[in-house]
Amino acid sequence: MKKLNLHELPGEDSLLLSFEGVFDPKAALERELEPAIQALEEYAGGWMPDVVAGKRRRKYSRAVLWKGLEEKRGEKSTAVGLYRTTLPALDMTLRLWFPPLPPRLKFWLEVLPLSVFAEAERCRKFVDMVRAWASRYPVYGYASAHSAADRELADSPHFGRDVETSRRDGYDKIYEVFWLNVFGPKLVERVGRERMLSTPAHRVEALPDGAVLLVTWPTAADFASDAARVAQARAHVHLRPDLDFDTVLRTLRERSARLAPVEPRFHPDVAPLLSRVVDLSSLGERQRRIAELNEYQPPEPEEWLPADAALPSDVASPERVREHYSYLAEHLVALLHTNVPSVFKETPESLTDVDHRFWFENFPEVFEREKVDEHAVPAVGAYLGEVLVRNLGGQWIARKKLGEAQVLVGNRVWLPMIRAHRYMRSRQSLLDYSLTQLYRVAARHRSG
Amino acid sequence: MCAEAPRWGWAAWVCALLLATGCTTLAPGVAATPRHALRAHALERMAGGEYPGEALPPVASSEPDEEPRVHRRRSGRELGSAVARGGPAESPSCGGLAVPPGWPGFSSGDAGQLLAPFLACASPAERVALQRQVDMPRLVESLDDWSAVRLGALGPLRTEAAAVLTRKRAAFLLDATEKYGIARAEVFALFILHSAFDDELRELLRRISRDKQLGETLGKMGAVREELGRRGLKLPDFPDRAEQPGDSLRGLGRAARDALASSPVSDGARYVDFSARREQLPPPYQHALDEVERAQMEAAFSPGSVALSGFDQLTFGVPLGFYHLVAGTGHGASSLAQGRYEQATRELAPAALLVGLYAGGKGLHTLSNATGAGRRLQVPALDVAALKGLVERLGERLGADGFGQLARYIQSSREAALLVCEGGEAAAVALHEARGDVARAQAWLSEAKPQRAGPSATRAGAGKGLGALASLVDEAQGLPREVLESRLAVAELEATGPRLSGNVAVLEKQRPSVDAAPPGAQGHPHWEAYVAYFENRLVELREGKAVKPPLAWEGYGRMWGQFARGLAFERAMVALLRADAALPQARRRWLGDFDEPLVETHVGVTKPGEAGIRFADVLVIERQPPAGQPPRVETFSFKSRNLSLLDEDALTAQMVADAREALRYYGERLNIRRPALHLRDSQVPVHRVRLVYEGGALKPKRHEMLEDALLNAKDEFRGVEVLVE
Repeated sequence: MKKLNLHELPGEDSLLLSFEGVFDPKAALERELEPAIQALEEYAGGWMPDVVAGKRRRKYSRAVLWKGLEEKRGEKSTAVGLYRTTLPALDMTLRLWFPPLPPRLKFWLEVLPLSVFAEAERCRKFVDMVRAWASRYPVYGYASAHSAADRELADSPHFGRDVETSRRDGYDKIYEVFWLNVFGPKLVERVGRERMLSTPAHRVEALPDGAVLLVTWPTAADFASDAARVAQARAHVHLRPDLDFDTVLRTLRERSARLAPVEPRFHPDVAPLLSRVVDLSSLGERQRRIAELNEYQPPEPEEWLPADAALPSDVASPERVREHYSYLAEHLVALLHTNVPSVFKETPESLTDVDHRFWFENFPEVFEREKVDEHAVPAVGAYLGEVLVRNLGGQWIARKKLGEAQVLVGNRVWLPMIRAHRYMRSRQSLLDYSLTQLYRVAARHRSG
Repeated sequence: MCAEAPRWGWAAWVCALLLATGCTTLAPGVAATPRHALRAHALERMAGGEYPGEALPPVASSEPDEEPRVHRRRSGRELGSAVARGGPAESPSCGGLAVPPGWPGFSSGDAGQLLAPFLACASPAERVALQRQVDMPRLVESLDDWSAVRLGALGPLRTEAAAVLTRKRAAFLLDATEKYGIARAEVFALFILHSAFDDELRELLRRISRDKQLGETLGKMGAVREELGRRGLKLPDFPDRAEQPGDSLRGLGRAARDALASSPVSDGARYVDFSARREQLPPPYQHALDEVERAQMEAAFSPGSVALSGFDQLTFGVPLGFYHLVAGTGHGASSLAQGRYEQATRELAPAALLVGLYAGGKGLHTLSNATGAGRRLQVPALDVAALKGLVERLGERLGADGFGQLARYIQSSREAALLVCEGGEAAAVALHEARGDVARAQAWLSEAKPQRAGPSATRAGAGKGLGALASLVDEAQGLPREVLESRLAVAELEATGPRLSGNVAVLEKQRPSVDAAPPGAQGHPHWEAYVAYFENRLVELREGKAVKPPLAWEGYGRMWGQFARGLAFERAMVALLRADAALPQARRRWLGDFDEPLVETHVGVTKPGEAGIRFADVLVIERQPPAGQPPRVETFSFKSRNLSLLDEDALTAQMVADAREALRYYGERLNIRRPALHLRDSQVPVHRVRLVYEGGALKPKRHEMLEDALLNAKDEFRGVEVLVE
């Protein structure tokens, strides 16, 4: 079964739950896990998984889920993935650890888009589900659910600590309060049970085994609203009296500001490329990146001469040399076609795909300079020239020196090899000297 | 003459490459590298075992002796006093075979016939001795350019013939560049470079620059420039002579030919000529040519890394055209001879082997079958025990660094090579003491104090030699063939691209054909390789081997892309680790637990219970461990995977699988095969195993999910540290 891959849907925030409780490894597995699945089926509603991935992917059913856990059972653990075929997208794992490791049951759960949880009723059900899990499988550390973007800005699960310290200490004190929290007994003790249960919040409930469930606000989707942030800050400083309310709230507001959607206003010649580049950034960086690229103005292409200043062809057999250019352009097709199938088409859109791919791969900086210059630059230049010829009615002017190859379009001759050379300097230069831009400028000057 | 045409298989070449790399070794009798994948690749072709290029034309013994044989009169000039004489001039022989009557018949114009006795020789020393019995300048002169190049690859020529050889080599290079284009000519050029001594190269460069052709030929060849650079020769030191009338015209003609030469060598006569010569190259060069042919462009990147790796193997600081060492001695297709070479390469470090073979003269060869059941066939076979004895003796006298230095002296000067060839062990020691100065070494030799106790005898320090030897073999960072092959097998196994059915009947119907490429694959440099890969996989499936179904064409292309990317990441990581190793201990980020870390790449290791040899991406070892303790060892595995689109479960599964593999192959206790590390006989505990993923755009966009998966992997495998860089 084909699942919808949440990670291929860039730009949308999601609700991310990380949950770890304890289960009884001695009990029959199905019976032991039944309450968890029961709660999932009862409360999931609009985001219920419809695909189970054990060794293979199958349509969701309990029987298939048990089968998946069984067939992926390893020495120490087992896991099944749970997904959806339609929006909202789901990336969920049920993972079990067995002795000799401490037996644990983990849910990793991400639902996209976050807007699914704009509705109070759906959020209530989600909380009820987590409550059911935490009541049956005691949480000894910390479990939470919150916007994935905001979690990233909070630096969860490190919360500003270096990785080693974070791994050593875990969530040993209240570093952050998210939308939904389950504090294990140790944390409760550390804060004080009374204090914890008196936290100002949407929902605070004591769970069996000494844990406490805390929900700051009725809905998860509007976590960044000021009212939700105030509630979040109040709860946080209540649990951490050593923190200053204003400071905590300011930090949260800053995070909201960083996540506030920024309207893309990219330079029109490179807009299609820049929006692809933005998609490669993480949720937390995304809006800032858009703002940054809104400001970005690529330099005006200089790789051209007025038509009357063109270098005349200086080869005996221009036809042969043109064939050679076309041969070089084929090299780019050979190089990229598996990842960028559109290179076959040699259209302006292909150029944007090529730009994007090289940027993604950080091609100019990953491969050795000499090889890039020797092999990629001629291929890119020739390909660019071919696209100009094919789509703008350009004409190659063959030159003995490859670097001097020109394409006449309207009243300008373009120097694609020079462009390619500048283009292939660094990751940044892929943007500064993009093929996308050169093409558009060439198209504009075709008739004028 | 030769009772049997020399046919020697790829085993000999494996051995030769080991010489070049120091990465040993293949367990005897075990096809240790997982060759099931990607056999399709041109790599494979040399595995066939045939080396038709050296099949010698039968020389009729009844050939009329049309002119007096020009056996050379003994020149009065001898090199050193401890010269081992060749056979008596009256009955020249080589490799245990008498030179045919009538040889050399100069007028025959038959280059094969002229070359044959040299090819039959069992050692460089024999060849040098043979040279003394014939008019060498005339002989070289009567060879065509290419045959002269081949002769040059068989060991040092005596002084009189050297100038002729240089001229022929230069002519060949210019001609090949014009006719075959830069890319193909480069492979031939490398062959010449590897088989020439530094001083010969200097002459060659001077000669070509006089013709104002350097910029147009070698100057355009990247791998050649690199190799020259390694040998301390820089092209700018050999400026082409100033422009003269007529040059521009010639330049123009060449430019046009260059453009043409990028397309396949297609016209008939040129092709016939080209392919004949291709056949006469040693297999690794043939392989490189094929790759050039197939993937001229992609050479640099995705698929092409392999073409480049082909080059890299060749450019691998090879100590002096190992060609002749194996070609000459392993002649006669004797599996015995080959086996002994393999044994020697397993048991000796490359530089030691090189020196040993040069200095050993004829003494290292026994005629196997000499007493065998009345058969006349006698094959000179390497006497490994004698060789090891010699190396041990020399080692004591030269000190630990000695072999590396001596190998370099030999490579740098033809005279030095001749000296050691002719003077044997004593000359080797003298050359070492004279620090490569041939004249001084001769002076020393003439004093001829037996059993000189050289100053070096006292400086042997077990750890010290490591550096010199290691740098000799590792300088160039090329991928030896076994490493490449094993890497490719792993890449294929791990390729995530679409695969076809595992059902043989279904596959039979889907068989691709070279002539019927699907749209998009037409003219693609890898289509042919793909077809071969498919066929091979089909055979394996038919035989019921536990292999994955073949990749679909798209998946195959993607696999190459991933593979190349992986190599680039590995290169970057190795540079990072080397830089880290150079820092003071307290400031090191990676290698802080070592006093003096030695960063070695592609180190062959074995483990009890694991079949075959694996190559650790990086193995770091304490250079000078405390006495009596095994050295601290850490291993690194590098993975370049696009993790950005994986869901949590898949990400965890991937990391767990990679960690498991890292621990299984490169963790716990290892037998480290690289001879230079001197740990072959022990199981060394590995203190730390790290698995490093390439970060950047390839890592998951959800940082928290990445951390979660890292922790999952850690729970599963405590013995492996997983990181993203």
